[in-house]
Amino acid sequence: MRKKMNRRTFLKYSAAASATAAISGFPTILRSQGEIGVTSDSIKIGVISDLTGPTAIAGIGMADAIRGYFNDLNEKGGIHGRKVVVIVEDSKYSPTLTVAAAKKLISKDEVFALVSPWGTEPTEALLPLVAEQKIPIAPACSLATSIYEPMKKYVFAVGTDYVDQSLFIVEYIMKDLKAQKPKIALFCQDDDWGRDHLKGLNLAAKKYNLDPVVMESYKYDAVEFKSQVINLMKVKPDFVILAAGLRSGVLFLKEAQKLKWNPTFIGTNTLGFLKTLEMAGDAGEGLLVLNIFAMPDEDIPGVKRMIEVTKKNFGDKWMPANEKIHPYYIYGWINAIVFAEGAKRAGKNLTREGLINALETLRNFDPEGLMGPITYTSASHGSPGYVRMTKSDVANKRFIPLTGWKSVSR
Amino acid sequence: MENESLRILFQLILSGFIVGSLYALIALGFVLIYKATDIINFALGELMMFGAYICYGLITEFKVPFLPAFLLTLVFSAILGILIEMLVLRPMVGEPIFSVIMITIGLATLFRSIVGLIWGHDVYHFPTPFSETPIDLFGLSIFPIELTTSVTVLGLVILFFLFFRYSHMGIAMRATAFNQKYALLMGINVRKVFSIAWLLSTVVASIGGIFLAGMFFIHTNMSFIGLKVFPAVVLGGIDSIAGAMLGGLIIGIVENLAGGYLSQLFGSGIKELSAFFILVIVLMIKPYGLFGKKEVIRV
Repeated sequence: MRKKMNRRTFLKYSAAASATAAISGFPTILRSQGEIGVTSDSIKIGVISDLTGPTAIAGIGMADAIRGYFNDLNEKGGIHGRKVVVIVEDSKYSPTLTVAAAKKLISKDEVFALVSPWGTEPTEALLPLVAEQKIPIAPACSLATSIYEPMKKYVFAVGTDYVDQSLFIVEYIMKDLKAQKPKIALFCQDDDWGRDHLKGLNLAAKKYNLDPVVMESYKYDAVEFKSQVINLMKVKPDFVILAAGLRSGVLFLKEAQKLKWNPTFIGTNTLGFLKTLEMAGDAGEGLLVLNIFAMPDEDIPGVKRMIEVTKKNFGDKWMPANEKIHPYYIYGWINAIVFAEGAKRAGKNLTREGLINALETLRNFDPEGLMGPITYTSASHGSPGYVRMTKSDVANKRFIPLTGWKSVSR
Repeated sequence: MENESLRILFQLILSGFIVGSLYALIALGFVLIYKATDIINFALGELMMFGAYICYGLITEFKVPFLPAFLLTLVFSAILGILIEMLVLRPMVGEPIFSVIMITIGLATLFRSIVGLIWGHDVYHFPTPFSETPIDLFGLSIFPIELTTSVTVLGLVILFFLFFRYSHMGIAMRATAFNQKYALLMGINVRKVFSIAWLLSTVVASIGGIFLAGMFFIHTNMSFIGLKVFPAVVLGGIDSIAGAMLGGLIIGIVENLAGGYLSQLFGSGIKELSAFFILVIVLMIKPYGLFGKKEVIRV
């Protein structure tokens, strides 16, 4: 027969149980005096990025930019006296790992909001969790229309989406280059990113009475793209839009050069890395690239400030700025600006609902000149697109703006 | 117009041959081990990647010129192959085959992580002495590095054919592959055969990796190509060196033809899927692959 528990043991166990309950209930006690992730002197935010996966070079930049921005902001006093605490998790660009990271940030770290989670597919995977937990993604780091169309209460998007980018490219071809009945082809990835570009191109093609766009796509982990190059070459297009990553885009250009095929190549924003020019060599000559953010070599106060803060926080890691700082670094920085503005406008009594309402008051908000003005309303959490076309300058390692900022309407 | 279509057809076949050469090298590496030791090596893609990064490190960090770096890498790979066989696989003799397979998967993860830790997960340009100017080959275009890869693979086919037909070790390996017990009884040093098999396999993988990196940039995800070994070896016959290499070439060509002629109908996925379709069809006609030997076990 089991020995009966004596009173001392019983008291010992009860004490342990009560202590555990008290400790686990402690945050609730703290929290019940304010919003989750917000204390009297701090705001906790979660940043999920690709730090070791296939797009790590871009993801590391995005995370560093956000960290640098808030370090600087905290030195200046933070937001209404609260310092912003940035917690970064690695997602390796995987939707599954992104959701796992978000769950950890939500339940263990109890963050106030998710800022700039990396990638289209991963962010799409977060949407159900975010709606259930009522935690803002403020803002997202994805340019796919699925992120904000139809509108999601807790999700904001920054940056010109892929459909608008494609519309602009065709506008540029027709209006600026004054092309006569051009034939357009598209090389893109086989996912929503690629499909958005095809959609935009075909919308514009219809508007201008052009032939439907011929598309060749590729799987993310493909070894080579030779047959895609040959297929598009067969069609004899005047313009080939490269909605591709660094590797796929550059390999496409090199293979085309090998086959002595010389249409006009136009890259979307994902090819706006200086590295594209380095790796493509003279296959990148004449490449036009769409640009949606300011470039690090531009003489704009916002850019200069960003570079100064970067140098202060990371030393030489991102120097020389005009070579190392890339569009996704700037994207992260802009996302940080937008979050900070929303939190500021929400006031001292910071809540998640308050943040949402505050962001919806942004009208033509200028993110320190780093991109076109941002407007949100209670009916739209996606900002109208601003784009410009640039041309690659291989010799001087930069992209030269060919147009001013143009706004695109659908 | 007809000339144009022919040119496109042949360019697609040539592209397929170039990529197929890489597949053939992986298949060779795979069959070398499988034939001699019965082990399915899941780490081949990673061994290719590792070899490429060693060469890359020698060239970029230690400023070694390409040819010495290439040869040094082969030496390192040979040592690595022997070490893997001695330290990781020999202790597994007698253990269930599933455990051995899991160990090769573990090795694969280990190599990826080591490379990621040292070089990161970025895409880099792999410096080679080959010119970027395409060569004109009967009206078709090919990069010098691509031509070199194809010629190297053909050379290796001949080399290994001679090795297995006429050399002492080659015959010993074939004997071991045929029946380990009898080989032992005949006085063949089976342990040495295993080490040589791994050595050759790792060296071949490194050669493949360096060419792969030279053609398509170096990055940690290049190890994914290792998956293509399975259609190649099953197609060619899992215990036939020539068969596996031919299988690799065929897979490369089929992929590019499918990508070239069927992608508009079926989408881009058809390129990668076609290899597996062919696999299924061939297996229905010849279950042991094109060159595999039918093994009838009499009970």
